[in-house]
Amino acid sequence: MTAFILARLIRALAVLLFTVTLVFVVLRLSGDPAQQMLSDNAGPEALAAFNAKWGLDRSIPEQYLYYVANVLHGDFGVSFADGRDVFTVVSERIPKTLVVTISAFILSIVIGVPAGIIAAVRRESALDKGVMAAAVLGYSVPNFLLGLVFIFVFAVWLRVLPSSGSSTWNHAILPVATFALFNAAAVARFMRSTLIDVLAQPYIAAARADGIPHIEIVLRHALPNAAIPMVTTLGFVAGGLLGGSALIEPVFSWPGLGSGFVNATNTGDLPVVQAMIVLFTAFMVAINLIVDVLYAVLNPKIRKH
Amino acid sequence: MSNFLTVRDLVIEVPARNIKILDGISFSLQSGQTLGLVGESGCGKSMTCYAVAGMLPRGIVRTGGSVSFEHSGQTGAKSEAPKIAMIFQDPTSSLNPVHTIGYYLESSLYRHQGLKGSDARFEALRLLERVGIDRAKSRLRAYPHQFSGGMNQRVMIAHALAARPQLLIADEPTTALDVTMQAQILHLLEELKAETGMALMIVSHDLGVIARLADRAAVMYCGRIIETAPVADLLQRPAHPYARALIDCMPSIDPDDLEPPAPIPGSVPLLDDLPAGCHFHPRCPRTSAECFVRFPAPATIGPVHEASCYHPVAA
Amino acid sequence: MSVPFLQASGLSKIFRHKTGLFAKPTNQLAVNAINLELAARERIGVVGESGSGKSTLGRLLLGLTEPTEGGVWFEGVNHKERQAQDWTAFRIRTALVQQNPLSALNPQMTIGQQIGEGLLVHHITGRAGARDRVASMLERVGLSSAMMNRYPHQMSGGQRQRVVIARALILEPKLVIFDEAVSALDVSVQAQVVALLRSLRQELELAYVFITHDLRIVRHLVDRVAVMYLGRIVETGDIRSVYEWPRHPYTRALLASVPSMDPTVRNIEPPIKGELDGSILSTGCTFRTRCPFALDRCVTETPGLRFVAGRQTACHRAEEFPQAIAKQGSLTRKEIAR
Repeated sequence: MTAFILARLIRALAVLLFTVTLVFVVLRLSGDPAQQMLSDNAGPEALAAFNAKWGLDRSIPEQYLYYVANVLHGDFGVSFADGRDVFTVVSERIPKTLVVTISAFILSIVIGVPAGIIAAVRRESALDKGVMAAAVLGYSVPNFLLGLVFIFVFAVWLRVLPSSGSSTWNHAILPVATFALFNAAAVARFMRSTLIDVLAQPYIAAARADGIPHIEIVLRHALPNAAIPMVTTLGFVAGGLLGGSALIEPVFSWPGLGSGFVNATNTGDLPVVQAMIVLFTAFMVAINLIVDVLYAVLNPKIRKH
Repeated sequence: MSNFLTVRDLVIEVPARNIKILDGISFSLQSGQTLGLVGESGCGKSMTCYAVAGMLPRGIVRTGGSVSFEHSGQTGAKSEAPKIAMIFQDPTSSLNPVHTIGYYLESSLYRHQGLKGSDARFEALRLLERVGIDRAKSRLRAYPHQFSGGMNQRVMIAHALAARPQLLIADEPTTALDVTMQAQILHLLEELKAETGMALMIVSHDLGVIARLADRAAVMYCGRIIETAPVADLLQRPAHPYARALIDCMPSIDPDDLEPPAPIPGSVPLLDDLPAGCHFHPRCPRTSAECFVRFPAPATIGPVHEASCYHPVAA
Repeated sequence: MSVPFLQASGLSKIFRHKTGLFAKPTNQLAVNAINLELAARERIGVVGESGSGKSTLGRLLLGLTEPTEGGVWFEGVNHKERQAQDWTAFRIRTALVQQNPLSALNPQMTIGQQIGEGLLVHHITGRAGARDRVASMLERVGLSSAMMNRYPHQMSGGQRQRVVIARALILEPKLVIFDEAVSALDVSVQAQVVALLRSLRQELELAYVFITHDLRIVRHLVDRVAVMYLGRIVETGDIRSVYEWPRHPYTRALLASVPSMDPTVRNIEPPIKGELDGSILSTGCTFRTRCPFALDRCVTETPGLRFVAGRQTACHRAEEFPQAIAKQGSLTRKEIAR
């Protein structure tokens, strides 16, 4: 199994390097940063000075090499907007995003998995149909729209929760709920269909023939098998949470990576955008790696060989 | 000798599709005896096993008849539910892929004999050795996908033995196995039968398997039993035209048997479109008017030999 | 000297399995130095259990997989030397019928479309001509031509297998490989398909290789048989001779393992104990680890196929086996009153 993990690690690093390169290429192609940052009246000397300051007048391959070397040192340059070190700018937003996404992840599992199990075990009953209807609803409404609805209902109308900012724990409730409900719906649906597939397997019928009580069959015989494909699904959910932060955080003015990314893109703050993309990719790659390893750990067919 | 198992007029339906999977079957099994259920796909032989074991799948219900047991439990007192164990056709997919062989056996030992810890492990090893698996110690930690079909079938049999069953139901236990492995498993079942005195209900489409293991055989067609007889009588003097045709279409390795297997004309009807009266009449060479009207009641062919036919073939 | 219709010489196939990125790959010798010859209109059965390599042999013969060593010649041309347009002609002159009719048929196409597809793709007829040929082919295999517009899921297993056979035969191939073609069917349906194959074979002048694990059904379908064990042919010859008096311990064990319909044959020791062991032996006979008759000689000397009593067998002790095999299920079936 060490060979398996090592192989996955190497692949992960390759993906990261590829992304870093891709980001560099795309952003350089997307327009002249100097033009974007300075006003339209800026004269050629101002532009030249800007380029010299940020090293944008060197050749592209040179820029790339400097860039990669810097990335490896954790030096992503300095923000065009306020001159602060990009690494600091970005990393101070990380905890905010992590708080919300991790809470939401846990919450969506806590809600979604039992809901999916109940729906699968009581298939075709009113309970199942109710749960699935709720899931479809939660899944179909765009999550930022859900966020706006929550703000309207809880902040504006009922006035029980704050609508923006991040100073107290109360401020976190609505963003977490928005993230979580959407993903809980997806988790519930996948859990249900995965468990139904597992329950249809011959070894479950054999366990029933042994007279094993139904609860034990679901918990000890079915779930460990359903966990294997679910791990992959949860990996998608986790990735989706990260990506979704760009949509949801601005709605709540939650000062995390998502709103940081949106701001930086709007202002053309190239170094910050680059750093964020690399960071997002690194997170996704890490999630995928964890999923791969967990998959191998849970699945004896891979674990043994 | 009283009947260990009595099935009387058993009717099993799928209400959602208005189909009768079993339409009034009756048979009995005496303790220590072996009954063979023979038939082709869709005749209901597997469902009969599930009904006897008390585990009909969802959506399938018993709407008529009865399954009853009469026996002395291990303490000598009569009790309601005898110990029944079941083994299935495809052993590797009937074993949970995330459970080790050891867990599988030890959980059965705990459930049926209350054994735990090292007692359970010791007994699990003994069972594995009894079913002919060598290097049993290392096998306990292994997973089903690491073994061949034959080995997994032995594991399933060991698991069944852990329940100390009075009845073992075997649904096509050797169909998915190579023929040399089949011979080993059949021999193992013979030995275990003799050793434990358990009754055996064996389902197979292969008359050779039935000939080897069964004392009595019941031939099924479209949810009904059309002939029941001691196995030698069935194979040598089949009375029902379908039973006769089934035997004639079995190929053999006998080089002097020059006739190719004789096909039965037509095909097995679907359960939702059964011919009225005797279901076999469209394919039968011996029909008359009454065959189209009402399903024939069992006619006596011999002291323990019955066939549901208006024109059974005379011996 | 005429060119042999189908010939395999020194045919070997090794599968390499990699279990992990850095693990050593394991080799599986699926087919080991097979020599085989088939004349036009001749029928041969290849029998063996799982792991014998029989399916791999079938694929090698049809050029669906490349041999590691040796070669296959069809009508004098080696597969390796066949050019693109030759392959098309080859595919038209040969056909493959496999085990599972449901997965061999496209659920989205009618059976008429599937049977006729070959005719259209190879520009043998136009649409109208294809329809006619499909109709007559359906009748030929015992199905009504009205079924042309049905979908596979609307038919029974036996009917589907007939469709697969119709599709295989519509281009009038001269060589067909059947790989467990009847194994998934009910006994009575098997009998129907066997009867069909017997009648078609006369009419279409087919040669075929019938690959199966079922020793009973193959007897009615072929003239010669080759018994395979772990990639080697251990016995081959006229099927009647081999079945009447098998001269290799594995053939004897296989035949003795077939459950007899004689109810008095019971409580017999299994002819072979133990499991198939696929590990590659460096010397000697591949069967020696399970053979009750193995000698020291069998460990050191690999027995090659040699002529004994009208067939070829790969056993040092071939001459010693009596016709009646002691303590096993009778080879003959008791007469059943008809």
